[in-house]
Order: sequence, then C-alpha cells, then structure tokens
Amino acid sequence: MEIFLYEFGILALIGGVLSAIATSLLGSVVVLRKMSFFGSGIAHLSFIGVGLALFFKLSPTFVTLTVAIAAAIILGFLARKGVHEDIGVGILFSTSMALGIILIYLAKIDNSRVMAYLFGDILAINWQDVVFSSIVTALVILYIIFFKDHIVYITFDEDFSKVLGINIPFVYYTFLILLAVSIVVSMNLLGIVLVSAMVVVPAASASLASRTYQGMFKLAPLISAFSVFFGLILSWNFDIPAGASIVLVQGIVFLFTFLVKILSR
Amino acid sequence: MKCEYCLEVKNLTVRYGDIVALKDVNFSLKKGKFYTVVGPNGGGKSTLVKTIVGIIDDYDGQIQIFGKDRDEYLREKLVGYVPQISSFTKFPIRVIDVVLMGLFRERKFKFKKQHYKKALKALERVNMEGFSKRLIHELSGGQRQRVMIARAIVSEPEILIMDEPTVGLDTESQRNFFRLVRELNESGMTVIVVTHDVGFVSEYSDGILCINKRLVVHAKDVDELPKEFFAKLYGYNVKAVLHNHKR
Ligand SMILES: Nc1ncnc2c1ncn2[C@@H]1O[C@H](COP(=O)(O)OP(=O)(O)O)[C@@H](O)[C@H]1O
Ligand SMILES: [Mg+2]
Repeated sequence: MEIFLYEFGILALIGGVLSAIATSLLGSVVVLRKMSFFGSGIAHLSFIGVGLALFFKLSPTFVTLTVAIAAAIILGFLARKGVHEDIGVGILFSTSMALGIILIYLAKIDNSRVMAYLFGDILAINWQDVVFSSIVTALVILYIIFFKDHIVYITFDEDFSKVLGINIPFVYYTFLILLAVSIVVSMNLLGIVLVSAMVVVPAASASLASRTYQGMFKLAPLISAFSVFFGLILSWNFDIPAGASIVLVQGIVFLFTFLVKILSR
Repeated sequence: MKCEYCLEVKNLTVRYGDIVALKDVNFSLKKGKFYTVVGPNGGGKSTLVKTIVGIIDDYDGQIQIFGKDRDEYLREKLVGYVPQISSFTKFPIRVIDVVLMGLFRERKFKFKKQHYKKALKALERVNMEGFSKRLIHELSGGQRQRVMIARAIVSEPEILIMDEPTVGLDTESQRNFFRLVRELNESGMTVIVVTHDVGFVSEYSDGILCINKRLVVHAKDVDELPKEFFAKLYGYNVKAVLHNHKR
C-alpha cells in the first residue's frame, strides 16, 4: 500500500482506474459482439501513428489518436461486411507494427521512449494525462448509460433493432471511436502490447461471472479497477513492471472465475 | 372506420443491386383477417415482410397501414414482427428483456415499472409467464418463438407479421404455435404469416397471397387456387395434402 503515499502512485491509481473503467465497459460490448481481435488490431495499427509522429516530430497523442480512430472505422466497416479475424487482418497488424518500428528507427529516437510506447509507463503519468482520461471515461460512461440497450439490441438482433428505428451506424461507429480513444489513452499506461488485455480480459471474466448483459456492465469495471489497484501494489512490493502486473492480476481473476464456473457445474 | 383496408401495398418494387426481388406488387388486406403468404424459395416473401416492417429501406412504391405511410406507422407501432427462428448463439439476455425490446419506442430513457408489467402481461398471453427470468437460449425453439410473439404484440400492434415462424419446430409445437396465433387473430389482430406449412393454417386462413417476384394470386381460399398452382410452385401437388389436413 506504501506506493499510494507517493504522488506518482496516486496518479497511477487514478489514471489506471479511469482507463480501466472505460476499456472494460467498452470491452463488455467487444466480448458480446465477439470482436476481441479489435483491441489488439487498433493498438497494432496505432503503432504506425507513433512512428509517424516521432518521424515528423508531431504530437504523438494527436497522431496516434487520429490513426486509431481511422483504424477503428476501417476495421469496423470490414467487420460489418463480414471480414473477420482472418489471415488478412493478421498480416495488416504485423505489417503496421513493422512500419512503425522502421519509422521510429529512422527518426533516431532513443530506445527508452520506444519502450514506453510498447510497454507503457503507468508510473510516469501526470495530471494532464489524468484530466484527459477523466474526460474520455466520462464520455464512455455517458455512452453506456444512454446507448447500452441500443448496442446490445444491435448485437443480439440487428433486424429487429431496425424495426425499432435505432440508428445503427450512429450507435456502432460512436462505439468504435470511443473504443479507439480509450485504447490510445490506456496505451500510454500499459503500452501497445498489453492494452488489448485491458479491453478483453476483465470483460471476459465478467461475462463468465454474470448471467445477464446488465450484470456484465456492472461487474467488468469493478474487476478491472480492482486489477489496477492490486497490480500496482504487486508491482511496488515485488519491484516488477506495473503494466504487466496489472495484466497479470486480470489474468489471475479470469482463471479464477473460469475455475469457479467449471467446478460449480 | 374510413379505411376498408388495413394494409395497402402499391407498385412495390425491391431490388438488391441488380437482382429484382419484388416487381410491381399490389394488394390490399382487410382488418382482422388471417392471411397466408406462400411462394417458392427465393420468391421474395422475406423481402416483402422485411420491407413492410422497416428492415429494408430501399424500395419503390407505397406501403400504408390505415392510410399512414411507413415512417408514421412504424413510429406508432402499428405492426409487430416475428422473424424466422434464429439459432441465437449464446447471448446473455433474459426473456423479459427480449420482450421489453418491443416497448423500446415507448420508453423515454429507460424501462419503467409499467413497461415491465406490460411485458409480463404479453408473456402471459403466450403462456410463457413462468419463463421471464430465463435466458433466451435456454428455451426450446417453440418456447422461443412464443417469446418472439410476446415481443411483437407487447406494443399492441394492429397487424402481426411472421416470416416462416415455425420452420424447424416439431409438429406439436407448430400446432400450438398456430393455435396461439389464431387466438390473437380472434381477438381482432390482423395476421400475415409466411409459411410452407399451409396445412396448419388452411382451416383459418381468410386469404392466400402467392409471391413469386410478382404477386401471382390473391385467393380467398385454398379451394380457389388453380389446380396446378401448388404443383407448379413446389413441384408436387400440395393441394391434396391440404385437403387431408382439413378434415
Ligand atoms: N441481402 C440480399 N442481398 C442480395 N440478394 C438477396 C438478399 N436477400 C435476398 N436476396 C435475393 O432476393 C430474392 C428474394 O429473396 P427472399 O425475399 O429471401 O425470398 P423468400 O423469402 O421467398 O425465400 C432471392 O433471389 C434472393 O437470392
Ligand atoms: Mg424467406
């Protein structure tokens, strides 16, 4: 608990919990829609954004955000056309990573900054990051409050949601854009490699542990926030990387729920 | 009432790209009757239903219910829709929440007590009141289709439209399903059902529409259909089968 006596510890906790809430709420939709390749897809594609920003000396947050949103819209469009987690998308992901790495190499940036993008640095976040996360998380919570049923109906029975007059493109693409923004925010904390865990793992645990979709939306943010809290403590006490510790806790929670579910049958 | 007809379809043409699924379809249906829609696979039956209930937006021609255009009658929930049985992959939604979908246009921001009450009433009407808290995929096909009826009628529509609602059900469930639909029809609801199981509905059907890209026949009764009609349609003579069913 000692970590929370320091300002960086408190900032990490606040920033981490905020992005945990945003990613896990949207992650619940991702799990319901069975589109978990999305999280890693957006993160991988965004790496081109990091490369471009460093190469042209632009603001990384702005460029990455733009690329992530574009990636989300393109992937979302492909998914609606029936192109799914296939070889093509896999090739696209790794190629974009490679392109990002080459751009960064050519930009002659020192390695520690590159490492920060790949693995994040939750202990280095500042108040500005926290303010940005708060805004994003507030938007996500508003979206879920107002459009949870809409996006669930679209997922469960798209035809009937047309009968109900739901504006499907609006609900769907707003979701994708928020997902892209949340992923970029969490990328600053956890890095590209681990960010998809933040989206999928807590939501997957919640889907095992709750019977209904309403339960999922309540449980996923709790599990995710809890993982950030214990992950930070774990990282401080054992002197191991914070982002990885958080994802490890998420994984343990998933394993635990999975075993309980199997044994209780 | 001013309008003799509750549903009027005029010069309806629907295309999917280059494929013309429906061409210049015209018909008018009377209130409170029971209509059956038949036709070969790919004949455009689903296209017709989906256009009437608001799933397909791209069409030429006019569809009116009690003189109201589509946007208006959809907003006023004048039509209830029961889709074909879908093999829902596991989805964590309860029966009550599925029925509540039918009240979506009535709610402001979230569902209130009165909506839950209505949903439970609708489940009672289809004899599924004990299942409200179950998950939809935990039900049998027949039970699931009853829930779909509850979802369609919870907003008290004038017309109930069903697209092959009993495909894949066993004979007993089909019989129960159509008995229920018949009850709803007797309580005043206009019913339009797309089905190949004409045998089950021939005893109550007030009219038959045969769709094969164009509206082929609009007959009052099975008996009115030309002899070779079904034979041509399905490749064998169904009419004989129908008569055996009628008893
Ligand atoms: N989404 C679609 N895209 C392209 N063609 C379609 C689509 N849906 C149906 N069709 C075509 O339109 C015609 C009518 O189909 P449909 O209305 O489903 O017939 P039915 O329900 O009578 O079997 C068929 O030729 C079918 O191949
Ligand atoms: Mg069909």
